[in-house]
Amino acid sequence: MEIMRSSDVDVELTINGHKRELRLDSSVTLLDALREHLDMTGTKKGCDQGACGACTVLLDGRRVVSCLVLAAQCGGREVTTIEGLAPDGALHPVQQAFVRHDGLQCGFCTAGQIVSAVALLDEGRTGSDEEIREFMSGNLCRCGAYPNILAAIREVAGTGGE
Amino acid sequence: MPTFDYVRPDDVAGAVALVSGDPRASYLAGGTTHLDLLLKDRVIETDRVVDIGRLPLRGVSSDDGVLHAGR
Repeated sequence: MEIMRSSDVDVELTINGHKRELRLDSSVTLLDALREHLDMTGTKKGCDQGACGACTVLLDGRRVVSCLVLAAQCGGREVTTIEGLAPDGALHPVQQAFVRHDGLQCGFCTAGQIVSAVALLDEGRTGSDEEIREFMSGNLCRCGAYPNILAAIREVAGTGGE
Repeated sequence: MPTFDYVRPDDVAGAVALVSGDPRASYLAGGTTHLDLLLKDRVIETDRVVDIGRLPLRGVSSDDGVLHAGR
């Protein structure tokens, strides 16, 4: 059994393929660990209560809102952030499609949208516009760039687009 | 920030033992509601968070008219 005191939680996790060791308060979320302790600010803090999807990352390949996951829960697990999608500076196909289709306005939700879209492709949930909309519904865009986000995902999925 | 111990027991019996006798302890599964109420809204307080996320508590089954959640 693993017992960690609140003041000295040791967490070893893999972020974008790199092992990281952190000592954190037990109440620190994965989102704050990324942004405040590792200076990885690609992942955005929107609502900080699991409603907007801006902080979406992949945990062992599955989408999670990192504001509602404790960093301590991630010990020994693999985290993929937006930074991990373009490790050598070459944009991921989904990122390229977002650029081509202008899938953003202010851009604050975009990291979460793209991480979610990448997972969507892996999940095989891009069969129709309706399915893409449904399975992207956890990612809010207050600018209302939804039609272009949809077009970008559709193009990468090969199910239409322009 | 709220302070609590984070515990990740190795088996179901260990998890139950850590929570059942202690009104200040609580289970953490997915966390969507628990962490929202604990960390964000601060409407629940706990001294010990017992993470059951990796225990083999999966699926729903039925036998002899009994529905089993988590196995």
